[in-house]
Amino acid sequence: MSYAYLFKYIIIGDTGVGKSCLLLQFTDKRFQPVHDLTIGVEFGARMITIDGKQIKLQIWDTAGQESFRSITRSYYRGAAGALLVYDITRRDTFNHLTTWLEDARQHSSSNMVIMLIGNKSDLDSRRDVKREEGEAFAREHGLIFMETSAKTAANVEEAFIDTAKAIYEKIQEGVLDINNEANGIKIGPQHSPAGGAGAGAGGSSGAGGGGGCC
Amino acid sequence: MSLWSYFQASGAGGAGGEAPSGADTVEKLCHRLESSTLIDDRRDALRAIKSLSKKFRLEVGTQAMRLLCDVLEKDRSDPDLCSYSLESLLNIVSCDPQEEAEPGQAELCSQFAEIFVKQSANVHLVLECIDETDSRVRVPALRALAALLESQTKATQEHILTFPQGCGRLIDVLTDQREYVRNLGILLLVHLTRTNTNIQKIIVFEDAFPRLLEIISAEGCSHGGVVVEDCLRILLNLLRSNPPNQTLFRENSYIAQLPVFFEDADSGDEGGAGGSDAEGWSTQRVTNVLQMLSVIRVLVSPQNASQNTRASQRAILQCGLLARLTAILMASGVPAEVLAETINTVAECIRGYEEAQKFLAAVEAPANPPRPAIVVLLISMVNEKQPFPLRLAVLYAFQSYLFRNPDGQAAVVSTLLPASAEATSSITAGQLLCAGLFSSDSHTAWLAAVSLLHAVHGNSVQKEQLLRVQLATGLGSPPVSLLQHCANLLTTNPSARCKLGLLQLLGGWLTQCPLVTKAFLNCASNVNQALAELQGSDHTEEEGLVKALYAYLLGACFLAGHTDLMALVERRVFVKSLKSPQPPSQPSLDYEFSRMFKSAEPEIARALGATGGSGGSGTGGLAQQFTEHEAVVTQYKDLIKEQDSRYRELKTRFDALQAGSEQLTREKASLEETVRSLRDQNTVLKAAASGRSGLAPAVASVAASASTASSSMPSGLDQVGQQTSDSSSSLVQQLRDQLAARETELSHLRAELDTVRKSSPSPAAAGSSGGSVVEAATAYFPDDYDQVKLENAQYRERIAELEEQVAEVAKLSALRDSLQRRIDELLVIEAERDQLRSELAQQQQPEDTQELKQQLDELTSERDNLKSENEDLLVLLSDQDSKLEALREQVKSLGGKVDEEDDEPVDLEEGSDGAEYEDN
Repeated sequence: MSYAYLFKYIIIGDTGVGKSCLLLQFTDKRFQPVHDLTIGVEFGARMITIDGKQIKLQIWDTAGQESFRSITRSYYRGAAGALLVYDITRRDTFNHLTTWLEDARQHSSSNMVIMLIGNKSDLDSRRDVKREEGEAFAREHGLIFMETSAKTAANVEEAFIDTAKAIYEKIQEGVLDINNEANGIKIGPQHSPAGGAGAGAGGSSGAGGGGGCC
Repeated sequence: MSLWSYFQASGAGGAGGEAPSGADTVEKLCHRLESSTLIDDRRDALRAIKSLSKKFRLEVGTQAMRLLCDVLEKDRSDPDLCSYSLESLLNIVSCDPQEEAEPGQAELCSQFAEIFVKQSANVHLVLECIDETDSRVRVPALRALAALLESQTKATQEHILTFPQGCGRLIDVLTDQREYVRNLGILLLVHLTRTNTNIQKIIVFEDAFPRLLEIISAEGCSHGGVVVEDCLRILLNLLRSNPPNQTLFRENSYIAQLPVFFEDADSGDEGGAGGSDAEGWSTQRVTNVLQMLSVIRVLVSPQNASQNTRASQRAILQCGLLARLTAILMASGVPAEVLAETINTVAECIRGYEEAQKFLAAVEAPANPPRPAIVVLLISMVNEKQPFPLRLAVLYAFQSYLFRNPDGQAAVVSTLLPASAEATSSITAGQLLCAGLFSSDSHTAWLAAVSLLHAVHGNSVQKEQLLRVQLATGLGSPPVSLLQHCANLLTTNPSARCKLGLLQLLGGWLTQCPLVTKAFLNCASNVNQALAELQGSDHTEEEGLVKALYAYLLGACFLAGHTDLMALVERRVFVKSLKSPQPPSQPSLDYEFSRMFKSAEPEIARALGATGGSGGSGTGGLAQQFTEHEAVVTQYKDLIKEQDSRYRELKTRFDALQAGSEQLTREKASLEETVRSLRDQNTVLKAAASGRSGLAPAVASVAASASTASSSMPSGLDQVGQQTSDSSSSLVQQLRDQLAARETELSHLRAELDTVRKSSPSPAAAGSSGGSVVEAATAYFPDDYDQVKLENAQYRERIAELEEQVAEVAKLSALRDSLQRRIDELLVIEAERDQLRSELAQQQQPEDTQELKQQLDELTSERDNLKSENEDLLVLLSDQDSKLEALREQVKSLGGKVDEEDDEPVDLEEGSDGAEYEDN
């Protein structure tokens, strides 16, 4: 339960590109071919380890449909990382990336790490967007890029973890202010000054993130 | 009054001391606000409007609302104007019911609020004002938005959602250093977080939990003021019926921050001095603690998904919150209200969770000697002096403690068993409950009975164990079993509530436990009592319930295998029961018992076949019922068979109909397709006809469509023309040939006639009939006879030929008629062609028209030719007719009525035949 940091992520992108499936693959390690349409925003969490530190990822999976856009926009501000997802078999989802990016840049903190994800790499035969195009887009806009498959789990771990690594590096470099919670980063409970929570809380060891706040 | 003097001074007032009408004043002020160019003037006007906005709400609302919005939009930089505008708005859309006694004002406010929020832009203007750091603007903006949220919750929430970072801006108010501003933000959030799940999630995403907990902590936790209460209310809004938020609350270990809240709730003066306790538990503190307990209960509510509740229960146990809560239970000086709610909370924290149940079992009250907390609680429950809600809460806690806890059940029952009863001298749970059963207080008896029920509910081992319990009713008298004692109590205790309790205990105890039912039925009086009760009245709800429970009792015995039980349920009785596990508010039916009842009731009803049943019947009743049942079943089986066959028949018919319908649909589709294509062609034609600017594609399409439309026409014309010309020319040829042939024949005939005339000059003067003339002639000129005879035969032949020719002429005239018809047809075709030509001319298609024209010309000339030929023919025919006429005359004059009628030559032939016979 204990962790050094908590990072908040959001997953954005057109409807049907596999956002919810990516989250499910990452948190539950399973794939659900038929997924209900996400209504509003769903939430998932998982613990990862970076540099020997436990980091808790809390991920908000947003609805891709236009009608939910005003709701999903509300989640940009407090997020440390965003996974911007398109579907390599549907060019229109790639074409919409600019709009998504503008939206994200406008409503989020400037330090938000954005990972561009071309999902459904298992469907290479139906590919409509070349890998190079995704790479070029990412390069042009300063994003990290990865092609994933929520179905085969290829690169899914990496996508989430590499984003966390990028955020972690920003913290190490001092670019991100960890005390400003609007950045979507929180220090684990053992770091917080409020102590004496009770006998049970004492059980959460502080060994994991001893040096985290330094 | 100062307001009025202001108006009068500012020149808005009317004549003399009379106050001007509110509407006039507002109108003038609005005009000035709108039209004045001096900022001070406008400020004054708006300030005046603000001052009037409470008293003349209707006028300001109707006349100034748009202006107020305009100010917010255009004068954002002027904090005074914005402030006045927002305050006026606040006054229009909200009113303090205590302050304003005038009726209808509240309704007016909500109407204005409704009008205001109709446009999202209006709400967005207020939201933008909240961004202003100037408290003159931020404060009234917060209050106005809170008022709008309170009045028009749903619409305002939606508008906030559509505003970029709307929720984020509002939660940021919590960080405002000015406490009163922050508190307004908290108040606003109370309204904002109501019911809307999306907003609740966003607010939580914006770290509402830590912020609120921080404020609660800073405000002194339970000792804090109304701000703590408001924060807790927001927490409650965020968590209630929002499982994801509950998960997040747990995942982020906020539960671990809750025990602090109760830090000194249990540290009441050990001595229990009244004065300090009253101080320690202010009304606000009681409210705060109750709110916090509600927050905890939301996390562990039995209505949540079970894994959600279980995870929260685990967290509550692990972080020491449960320990803190049980400490409150054992503390002295805690207000009963708080105590009862704490017991309820503890109940839900342990319900069905073994570890927590064990934890509670191990808690000991700090008494001397220490007693188990459960026993202490039960003491309160059976104590009729305790407030009833508290006693009910204890029952709930006891139930929750025993829920899915066979060990706990065994522990309670064991305290009643002879062996252990001796071992301990202290009071036990079992003793308390048994004593409670005999209490004269109906509530106590009910509580004890239901508690005992939970000690054995769903646990047949304990049901049988409880059967072993013997009670010493009095010195000298033999001990009575607990079961029998309960049954006896039923006959003696007149209180319906007590009966309800005992019957539920017995019912639960008997259910699915043959041993217990056997023991119950062993005593004949029990059954008789039950039957007697079933015959009784059920005027009140409680009487009805008692009867239902008696029925259940017997039904349970029946189900347990005692089919020899002949008592029958008089009729199905429905029981109102509690909807969900919660502390019973009224001592009637227990939740678990209701559930058991509901599941068993249809089973019993089925087993008894009691649909419209007769009253309690005799020994043979049941068997009879069974045979009746059987008969009914066969009846239904037959019915089903019949229905089945009918169903199959209908199914086949349906299939056929469906196939037919499909076919029809297909046909319809194809027809529709045709119609569509025709329509398309039509539109293309139309378009082409209308737009004749000579665009190549249009022309092409027109040509195409025109050719399709008219191709049949020209080709038809060709054909017809061809046919007519072919056939008529051949006919004419034929006719000419025939005419020529006839002419030659005629000349032959003439020549022959001449010869005849020369050879027989006398016959002309002879008798009327040719035959007689000839005979006479032969008589007189026997030498010439043969020759004449020969000639006569020749004549006859000729005449026959002539007749044939006449027939041919008739044929010819028929032909002429048909020719005429052809010509008519041609005329029609010509008309059609003319029409077509005009159409074509309209479409300006030179080539086609040219072609058609050519064809037409050809046809016309052909037709003309034919016509003239025909006319020639007619002339020829009439000539011939007249010639024929002349010939006939000649023949007549020669010797017979040849020319008269067609019959005449027959006569002649007969005559000649006769002559030949004579020859032979």
